[in-house]
Amino acid sequence: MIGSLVFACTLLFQEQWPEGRGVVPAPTGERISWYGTLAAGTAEAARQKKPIMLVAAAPECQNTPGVW
Amino acid sequence: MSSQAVVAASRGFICIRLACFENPEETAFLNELAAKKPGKLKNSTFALLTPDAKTRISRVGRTPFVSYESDAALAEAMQKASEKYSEQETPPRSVPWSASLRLGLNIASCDIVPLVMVVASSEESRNSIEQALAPIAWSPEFVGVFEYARVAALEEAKAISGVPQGDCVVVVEPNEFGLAGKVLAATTSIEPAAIAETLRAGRQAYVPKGKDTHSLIDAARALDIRWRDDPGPEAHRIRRD
Repeated sequence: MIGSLVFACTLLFQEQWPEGRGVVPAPTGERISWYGTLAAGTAEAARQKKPIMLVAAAPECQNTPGVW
Repeated sequence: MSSQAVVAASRGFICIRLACFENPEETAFLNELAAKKPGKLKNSTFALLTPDAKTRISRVGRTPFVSYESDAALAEAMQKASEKYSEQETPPRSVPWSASLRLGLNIASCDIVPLVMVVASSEESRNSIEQALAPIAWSPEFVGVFEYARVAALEEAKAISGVPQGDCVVVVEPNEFGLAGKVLAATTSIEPAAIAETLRAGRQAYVPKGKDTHSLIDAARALDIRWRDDPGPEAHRIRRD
């Protein structure tokens, strides 16, 4: 019974999680430096007279933190 | 966004990355900028804006690729846009802080980078450390290397192990979920040379490890770990699509 359940779950997750997708490699090379708040970023943009690249995202995937 | 051409072009911009559903004022700004229907903000947004944040330079979409067909096209557009504003170079004066330690730790884990955390118990101490840290954070050696977060007291940093007593600058390795971390290097000095050396040591000690999103989600479910948007009193006003 338990063995069948484990087998069914394995099939289910194989279906949900195709191999190789969702792999986040360790970063290499230079990275963008991000301001984390609108107030600080816009204040700095106004002071330096630089245009703004604005991105918004949720730091979780299916409620799991640690991944975009 | 990790294309080296885009990273190089980003130096002519102020880059702001917001967490969509954490701050009611920021969510309202994003709703106004990007939501097709009021209150229907999606969980990603991209825009290029003028320095006063009032005028769009690009189309607003969920990703840059609504407007640009490739990283190279995005980098070229950014380069052209920033040339209009680059008459004189003004040195950065502020550290690119995360909104909070909680978010900074999570985002550092998402980006697979170490976190620099500052503990400063007074405004005077905070200003002194920021004055020393800002030029280091934007120096060619360290720009884009770390996430940054600050707290006013050690009690706010209970999720981090190994933080020394007193005001300090520490480099933290976040755990895989970005909910806790351990100190890799620390200094209680506010001398720029000591801070730079600490960042250097922390960077060297940090070993980036790639992640498998699906394994992480499975592990989180097994451990009953869930990210919750800012638990502050106003959080209930923010609703995701």
